[in-house]
Amino acid sequence: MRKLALVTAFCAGLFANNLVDEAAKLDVKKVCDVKANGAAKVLEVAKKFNPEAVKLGVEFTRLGISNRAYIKYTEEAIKAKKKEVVIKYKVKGEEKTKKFPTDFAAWRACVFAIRALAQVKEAEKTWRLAIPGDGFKY
Amino acid sequence: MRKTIVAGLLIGAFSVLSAGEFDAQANKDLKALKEYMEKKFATRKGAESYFPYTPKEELDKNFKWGLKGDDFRLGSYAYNKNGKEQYDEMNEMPPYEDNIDAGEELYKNTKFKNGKSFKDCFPDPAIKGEYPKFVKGKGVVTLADAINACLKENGEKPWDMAKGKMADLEAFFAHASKEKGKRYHIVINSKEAAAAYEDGKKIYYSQRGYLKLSCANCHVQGAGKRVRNEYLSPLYGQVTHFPVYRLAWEELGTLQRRIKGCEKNQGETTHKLDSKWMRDLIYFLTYMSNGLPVDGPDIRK
Amino acid sequence: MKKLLTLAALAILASGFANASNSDLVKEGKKIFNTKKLGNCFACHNANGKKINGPGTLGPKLQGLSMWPEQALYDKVYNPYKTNPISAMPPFGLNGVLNDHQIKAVVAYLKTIK
Repeated sequence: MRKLALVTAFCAGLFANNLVDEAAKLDVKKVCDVKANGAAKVLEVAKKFNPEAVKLGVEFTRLGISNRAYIKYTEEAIKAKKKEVVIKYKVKGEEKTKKFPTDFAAWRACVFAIRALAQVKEAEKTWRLAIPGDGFKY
Repeated sequence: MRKTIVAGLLIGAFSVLSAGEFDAQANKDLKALKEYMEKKFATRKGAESYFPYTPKEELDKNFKWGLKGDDFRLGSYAYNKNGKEQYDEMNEMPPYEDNIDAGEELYKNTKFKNGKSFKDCFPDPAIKGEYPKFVKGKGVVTLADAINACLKENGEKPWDMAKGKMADLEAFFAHASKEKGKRYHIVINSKEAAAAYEDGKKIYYSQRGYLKLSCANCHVQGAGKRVRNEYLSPLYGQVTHFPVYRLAWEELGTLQRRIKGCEKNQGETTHKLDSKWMRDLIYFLTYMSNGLPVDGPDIRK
Repeated sequence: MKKLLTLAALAILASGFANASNSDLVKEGKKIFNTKKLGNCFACHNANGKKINGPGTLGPKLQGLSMWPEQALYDKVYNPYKTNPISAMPPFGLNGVLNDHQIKAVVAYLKTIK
């Protein structure tokens, strides 16, 4: 009986993903606000949540640039006190670069990291609404 | 003695009954999906409620109505009249015939270093409609996974799962199956298989990426609607025609390749072509075409 | 009298500048609306009285938006899930696709849709 309780608790712990739950509770307007918190702090938030997004297979990638890339290059720019981030990435094997203001890149990296995880939790509640024969009424 | 026989009969009967229960939910889902799609494309008169934003002129002129069952193997060409015209023209000189020949060549004449050949793994090439299969201990095995497993088991290097030889050999298997009039009949006969199906189903219907879209947004609720000028294809019948000669690629590609391309468009970091994510999704996708004819290889825009 | 005229002249100039900056914002919003790599709004939406190149049919043809309060337009573009939780319309603000300035530009353009 005790073994069963322990196993159940362990499994429940596995399913209760703390970073997903934490991200789902955050207000991106406040937490990713570079004017209020500074680019460095905002980027730390991105660094905290994005690895979990990668692990769960839900990381955002926009127009060839993964959030990992946003984070990596923005961190370099912040350390070097540069106002512009230069991101190097590949599209179909071709090398490309794109520039963003450092503040913009930090904001985006933060939002992308949090929202990727928050959407995992949101999808839990909404996915059945799209299924004919289940939650989808037409 | 009699008690044992009775008990044995009861257990036997129960196992026969419960073998059916593993695919009960999937069959319900398939039936409900088919019903939705057939209703959606049934009549011009009923179309307004399903296509509230499509201009009336477009509904009047460019849609074929009254679609049923096998019609859906054509994807968006089932209802998009202009698209169907272009599709018919292209199929007068199908660009994938060379691929079928190349696939047949690979099947018949590839000699592994150990002397064996693809015939040893796949004695009958008309097997496109049986994949993916769920294999205990391995999980979902798509045709591409099975081809690579065959290569590995025989000391050969696995192939790129997106295109090239993989697409060619799949084209041959699809063609051989189509010639024999085979239909998709994916099987769910265990608890684990049912779980893999449910996993794939959840992937399909969950919104994700920075665009917060699920596959369903476009291919269930969105089927028949347009993104810019492109008509969205329906989930029912979505995979029947693979491997596909896609004009955008100017070559033949696998279902795995197409899914990866879709992921990129939706703002997600893509999954590996042989990942559990991809395999479970393809298991669900193919089950949603159960009963439809194997119709590959074919052309799509 | 001279002071009044000068003030009047300044006021007219000021409103002229305001309109100039608003028309820049509208231009920017129009670009965001019609560019695939920016807002890509025309992927799903046609707009009344506008020449849109091949608008999609996933979303309604936009009209009467000039009557909407700016905040309502902003909120809708920022996060459109109040009425339909599984809407096909992306949360452009919430998900970091468009920043605050870009959404304001889109709103300026949307306000010109009758």
